Amino acid sequence: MALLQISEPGKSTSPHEHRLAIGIDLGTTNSLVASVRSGIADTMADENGNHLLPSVVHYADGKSSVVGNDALIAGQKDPVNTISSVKRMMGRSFSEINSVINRSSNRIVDTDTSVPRIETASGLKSAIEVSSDILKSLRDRAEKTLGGELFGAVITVPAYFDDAQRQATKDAAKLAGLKILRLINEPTAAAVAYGLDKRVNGIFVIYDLGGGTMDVSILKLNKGVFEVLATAGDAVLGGDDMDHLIVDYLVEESGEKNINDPVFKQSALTQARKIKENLLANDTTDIKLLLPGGEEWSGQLTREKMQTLVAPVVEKTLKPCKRAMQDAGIKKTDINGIVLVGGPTRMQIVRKLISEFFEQEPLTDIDPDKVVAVGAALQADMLAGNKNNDVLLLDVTPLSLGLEIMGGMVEKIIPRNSTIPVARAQEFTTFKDGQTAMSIHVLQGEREMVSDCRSLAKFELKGIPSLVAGAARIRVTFQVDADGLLNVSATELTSGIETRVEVIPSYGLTDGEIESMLKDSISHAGDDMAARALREQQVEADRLYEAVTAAIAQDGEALLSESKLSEIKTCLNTLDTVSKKTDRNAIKLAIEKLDKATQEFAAMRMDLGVSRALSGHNINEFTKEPD
Amino acid sequence: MLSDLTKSYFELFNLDTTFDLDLDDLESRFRKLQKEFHPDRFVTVSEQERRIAMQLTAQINEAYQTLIKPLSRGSYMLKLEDINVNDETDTKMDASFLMEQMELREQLDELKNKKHQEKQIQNLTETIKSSQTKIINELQVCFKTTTGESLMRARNLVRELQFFEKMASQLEELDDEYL
Repeated sequence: MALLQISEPGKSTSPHEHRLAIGIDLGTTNSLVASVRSGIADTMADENGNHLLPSVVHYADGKSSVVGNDALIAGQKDPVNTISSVKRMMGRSFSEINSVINRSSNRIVDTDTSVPRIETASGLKSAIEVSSDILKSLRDRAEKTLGGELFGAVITVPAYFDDAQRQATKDAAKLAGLKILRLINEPTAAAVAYGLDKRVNGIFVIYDLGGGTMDVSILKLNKGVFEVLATAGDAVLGGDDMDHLIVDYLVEESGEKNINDPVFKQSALTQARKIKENLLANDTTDIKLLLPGGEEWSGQLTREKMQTLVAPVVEKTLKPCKRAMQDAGIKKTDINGIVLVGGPTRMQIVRKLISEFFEQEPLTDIDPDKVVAVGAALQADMLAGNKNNDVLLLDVTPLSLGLEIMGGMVEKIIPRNSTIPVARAQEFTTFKDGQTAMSIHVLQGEREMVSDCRSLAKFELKGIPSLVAGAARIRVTFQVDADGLLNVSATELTSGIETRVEVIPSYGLTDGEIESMLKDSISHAGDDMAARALREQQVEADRLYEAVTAAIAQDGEALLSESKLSEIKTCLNTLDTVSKKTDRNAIKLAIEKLDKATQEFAAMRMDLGVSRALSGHNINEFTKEPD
Repeated sequence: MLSDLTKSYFELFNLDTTFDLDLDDLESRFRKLQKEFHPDRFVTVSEQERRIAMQLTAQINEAYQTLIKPLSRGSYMLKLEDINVNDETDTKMDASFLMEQMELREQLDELKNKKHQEKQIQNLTETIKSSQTKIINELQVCFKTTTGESLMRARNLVRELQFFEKMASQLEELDDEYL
């Protein structure tokens, strides 16, 4: 079936073409890129053999940006122009960055747009641009390793990322010239890598403590289906916070007063990370700290003392664990395994507290640094249609989505932990006679009051027919797609007036801003944006043309009236003609026209497809196989 | 314009309209449909197919979530019979049921103001759970016939179940505070 490929799910239309697809773990501290080569998923190394790319970018005056280890080194001397842990700033406002997140030496500037910028020697940079520089570096590495143009990428995000943070990540990928096949949640990616590798079934907890974020997801693994039962976390909690606690300790012990010296701050942070690393294998470690005055302070730290320092961070992660278990409706005894993800989970204190909490030892037979990227690569390979298999990810929304109603309250439309994609509608009415407009305020969070939730967007529905209060019926539909991104539309039911909005995050870039950044970056690379856009439009035209032609051949006679059929054929001919020419707008219009003409047909075929999928099967197929 | 107008959630899964569902069977039907229609299967095709796949999958998810839980399944079955469970013009409830609810609510309120009540919370949770099970069993019987009388009885039971559900979630929140 072409309009919906029911007979061969997952298969591409041209099955023999191998598409180069990559998985990217865009981390707070380190980033990785992986792909499936000769059937094996693994991360790719740079020319020096390093798999981890430090998520650090250095912006020097008049030079192009430097990413990774070189930026890390440059950052020792020039911390002000070096940006690290940028992931913590993604999708966040100026005040949020300053109050909760910013411990770096960077100067954050509030701008007239909703996205704050970081001041560097080569200009103002948004978190999205910094992330896109990291992604570009990974894209280059992948293209060199794989030797060809990339079909697309799966990029992972913390499961607990809200809509603004996800949208920012997607924008960064767009800016880096990467086609996103899917945004997937980090713990889910880890579960895929682990589950496919070990071929296990059952209930698994994925505990992911990264540099800047903490997630816990509970999944049910059953014959290739990875179903997330619940997810919880903290988007501003991670290894970075441990480092800061250790820094505070170093500052106190050394008696240093000039704590705002950028170079000192940077060197104390580097020391803190080294201490954490050293204390994995040793009981004590020596500390050497260069003070702003030029003297050196030296001391010692035991693992035990370090553990007392960082324990509050680990203890804070237990609350999300409990919440997730409650939401999933499971008990500790139901859990078949706990998978640890993220560098900080190497620490003994993390493993100890986790095994005490869940009353079982976590599994440690995977590389906690690589597992997310590997899972993303496996998923990318499947999405690109290189593999016809039975794997399916069913993920959930991490936070409830709702609308502002009277009295500053939030009415929840989609509760947290709903399986995505999900669409829900709610009807509202006017509260004044003759009210012709209604403003809609979209919020995300669990609390009852608007002020306690995160504002995602506001938009206005205009042209409501003038009626007495309570007579108009406005249906607001929330739709969360498979990337976890929200789209809201509203319709006045008595008149049929519709407004549709992409939720432009209250903390995001506008389409125009992205467009102009994209233009800049592409003109620098010498590529022609118009040519690229035309090519994309032509590919879309070809896909639709092929799909509709095949669908008509199969079901046209049975489902379509003669007049409808000839209408569709006319649209097909037009599309075929214009798609060979170079007028992008004409192609777009022809696609829209054919799309409209075939919508009903497509829906009927879908109905048919659903019936076919479940009929004619032996009932035994539906009964559970013994585990 | 999609199939949601013509097909019931039961029809979507090719099942008879019944309260007494085999939940394992429902789950495997759900998975089978998801495996075929999930947007992940349509990444390399046209925009139209991707959009339809997303809408259909959202509908499959909604149908599954509605049918898997007894309360939403019951409300949905009544809706199919044009009975609105939360009809605001008719909020009559059985007097003895309301008495029972008031007692339970008092217990809940008492727990709100004190710390370290894990044991009591657990007890109350058990009480509510067993009441829910009892109602669900009665609903099984009720939905076997679709006479006006048994449907009205079903409606009352679903409403009672709503009360318990609400209380259970409040208890959960209470438990949350002790996390």
